[in-house]
Amino acid sequence: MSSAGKADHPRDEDLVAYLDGELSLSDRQLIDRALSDSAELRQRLELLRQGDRPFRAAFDTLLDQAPMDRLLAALPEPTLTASVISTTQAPPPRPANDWHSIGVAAMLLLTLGIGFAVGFGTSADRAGQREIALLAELDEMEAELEEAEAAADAAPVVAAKGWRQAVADYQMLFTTDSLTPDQGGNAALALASERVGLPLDPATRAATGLEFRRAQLLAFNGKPLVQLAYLGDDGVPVAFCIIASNKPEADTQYEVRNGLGIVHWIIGGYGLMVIGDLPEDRLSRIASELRKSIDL
Amino acid sequence: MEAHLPRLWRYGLSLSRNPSVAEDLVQSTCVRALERQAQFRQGTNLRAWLFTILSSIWKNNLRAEKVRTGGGFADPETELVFDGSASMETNNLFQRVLSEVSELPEAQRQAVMLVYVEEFTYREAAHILDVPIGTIMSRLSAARGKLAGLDPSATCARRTRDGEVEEN
Repeated sequence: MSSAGKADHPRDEDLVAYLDGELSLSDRQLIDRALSDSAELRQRLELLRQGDRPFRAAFDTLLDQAPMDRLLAALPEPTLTASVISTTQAPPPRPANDWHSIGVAAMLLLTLGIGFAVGFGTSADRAGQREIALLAELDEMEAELEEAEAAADAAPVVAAKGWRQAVADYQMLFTTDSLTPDQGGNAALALASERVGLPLDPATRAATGLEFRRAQLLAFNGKPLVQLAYLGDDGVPVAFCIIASNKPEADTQYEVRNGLGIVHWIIGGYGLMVIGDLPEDRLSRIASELRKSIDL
Repeated sequence: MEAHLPRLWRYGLSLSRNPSVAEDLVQSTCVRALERQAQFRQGTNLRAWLFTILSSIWKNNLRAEKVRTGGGFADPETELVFDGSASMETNNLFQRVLSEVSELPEAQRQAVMLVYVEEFTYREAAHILDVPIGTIMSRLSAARGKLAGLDPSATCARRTRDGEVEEN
């Protein structure tokens, strides 16, 4: 953290380092305290968060364009010694700077925000409870990070983040306006149903309080990924996504990525998820309704 | 070394915004890496070492040459494009990100590439560019502020660290 950031008022670079997971635990705690004390600072953090982008995913699309034939032809001879070459390996993804850490930051803020919604001047008791809840969440995130790292070791770098993270990164860009007015059309829905091999029409009418807006056929790791986009009564964008999966079946689970709630499950050779900035109970209800609407 | 070529090329492309300069940068980096292989300490990060060499060549040679010869930079919008196989909307999103990064001042662009795209730590990025870690922090913060549409003058007046002057 910058020296000035240790004072009462963290600077933008400290907040960005906080978002990037680059602060030591003690500096992080200082920022947490400063955030809980200052609405202005929380607002500033949110503004800086809006300067985030799916940088890596966007730039990864350039890798395929590297003129490998010419670059290899231009490699000097003799090439580097075997001992140097043996250290050549694809870099492991750095979890500290992963979107996961932004998710952690978002959760921290969310937790703080809830504290403030309850009332200004939080009691020590309530703060203690928040801390316990927060630690439990952080433990969970860490376990997930370890899991992601293990997966990353075995999988190509592009796949390391998994489809749920890719969807969460995309969903972050949606606003009420993105889905206003109805941009749907039966053609996209029919194509999506065909490509993913499931009748999706019932899912457009299944969720209470959600209005279906459109279907999109995306791709993740070469597999079709269907996104059905809805707008909630309150203008919150919600997405229901489906991708083929060869993983063992799993019951619904809740998680938070990029500050968005996710309920996900695996059934009948498909991974499914519902994502949106909604409370867990409402998201779970929506997931349950959508789950019933899909014939699996 | 082959495994690192696409990433080096991408980094060179983001610095120069010109594919043929990017190729030259990668080639010069490989030549220099070979010349200096004795300096590479085994067990350290080869990728970081190669990025350090490329950054140094860009800073000391090619960038100066481009400016001197009046070559200027190619229009970033025509250079940083890709043939996406994903949906149109994903393509549009990624294209927008590429364009936004292209338009950042070079120093900020470099920090964004190293930390957010290549996922080096702040410390590694500082080492690669041979600058203090605080410089990486202020460049990233300026880049985020710009992408978030914050007023740069207000940000600078209030936030810029003493004694640090951005190169662009």
